[in-house]
Amino acid sequence: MNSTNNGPIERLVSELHKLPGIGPKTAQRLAYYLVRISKDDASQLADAIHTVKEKIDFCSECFDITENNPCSICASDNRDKTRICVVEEPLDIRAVEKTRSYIGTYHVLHGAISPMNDVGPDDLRIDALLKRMKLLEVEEIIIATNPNVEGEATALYIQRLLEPFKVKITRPARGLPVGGDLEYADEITLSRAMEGRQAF
Amino acid sequence: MAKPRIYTTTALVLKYRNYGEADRFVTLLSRNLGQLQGFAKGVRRSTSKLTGHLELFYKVRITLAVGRNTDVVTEVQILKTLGKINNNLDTMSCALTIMELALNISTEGPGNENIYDLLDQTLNRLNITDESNVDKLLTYYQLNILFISGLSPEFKECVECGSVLKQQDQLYSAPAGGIICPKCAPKQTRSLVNLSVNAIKVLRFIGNSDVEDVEQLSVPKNVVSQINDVLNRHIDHHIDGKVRSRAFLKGIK
Repeated sequence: MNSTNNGPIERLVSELHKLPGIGPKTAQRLAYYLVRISKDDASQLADAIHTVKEKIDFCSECFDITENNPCSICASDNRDKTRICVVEEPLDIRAVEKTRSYIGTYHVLHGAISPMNDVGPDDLRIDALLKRMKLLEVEEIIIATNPNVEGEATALYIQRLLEPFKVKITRPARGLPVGGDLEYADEITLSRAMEGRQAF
Repeated sequence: MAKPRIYTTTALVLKYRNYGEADRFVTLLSRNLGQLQGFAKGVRRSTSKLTGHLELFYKVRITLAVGRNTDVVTEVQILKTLGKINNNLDTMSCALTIMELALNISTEGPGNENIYDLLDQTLNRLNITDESNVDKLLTYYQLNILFISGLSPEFKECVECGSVLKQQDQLYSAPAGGIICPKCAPKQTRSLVNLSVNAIKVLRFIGNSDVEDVEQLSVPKNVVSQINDVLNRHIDHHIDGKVRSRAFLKGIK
């Protein structure tokens, strides 16, 4: 039997294979790379993973991933607490923050309603959003879920639940991506872009 | 004849699963090729030429290149988007339920023409119909897809003795596949569900009517819920795979 087919290397390969986007070949390549690196580098990597698991938690208000509870955005006095941007994943917050055009707070759902994949409203942090709505004086909810069927289903479901609160509910505008070709734009995006056109 | 290396077909997008950083596996239903799997590389990037072309409920003209494991999507042209379905939670959840049923019942290869036509027709109607017709369209679709797959429930004769049913309230058995008359019912050990004479009339009418006539039908809510209960039991018992979207549809009502 080949010595690489059992023991620690195989275990490492199978653990790496569990990561998103890592196939069996890539897992094998990474495992053999890790075998070659120094003990110090390997310890630093293991320590970084361990620290993340020990210190990182969810913010009790917005459910973003954070080292401090509440997170820096929820704790900041410079943020507009009357606006909540609802997103599917913590990475969506990073994407919106990069724009530097939004100064409100966030709420992370940790997924989107996907009935065909058995993900229902109870699997998301929707109840926590409703609790926040009761405690805070919110003026606007921006439902920034992904513009696909799951994202739309989640947005419509949240909109239905938020109706009694009488707040302004908005969705980010849809249009053409910078660097994209007009001829390749799908008709829904193009029609929304035309509807939302602005004076030049 | 060997399958060409690149082929084009018209299909409905049934399901997708995100993969890796920006890729997606898509399940499609083609009229002539049946269920297909395609790998759409980079489709989730906003600048990809395929972005927004492979969403659920879309009817597309798609070109695939034969791959080692899964065929690769090379080109997509949108034929119909059915955008209005996505504007209402009731129509969207109904559309998801009917798509899931098509996914469970259709197969790879030829022989899926009727399932494709029914799905296409029902989705088109859902896109233009009034919200109040959603339940009737779901019943129409369920009855017809059961008929196409040879699993229709029996509502005209007793499934035990074969006698023609009288115009009265009856009992339905999912394992038996239809109605059991009052004479045969006491001998049954299987669970039976009440089915009113009005529900039976509506089921017979919907089973024999065009979709336009079904939309015109006025059905009381209690009859609709009784019909849905019976059809759900029938589908759960006779079709492999759980229809998960139905729980969501029920939850939002």
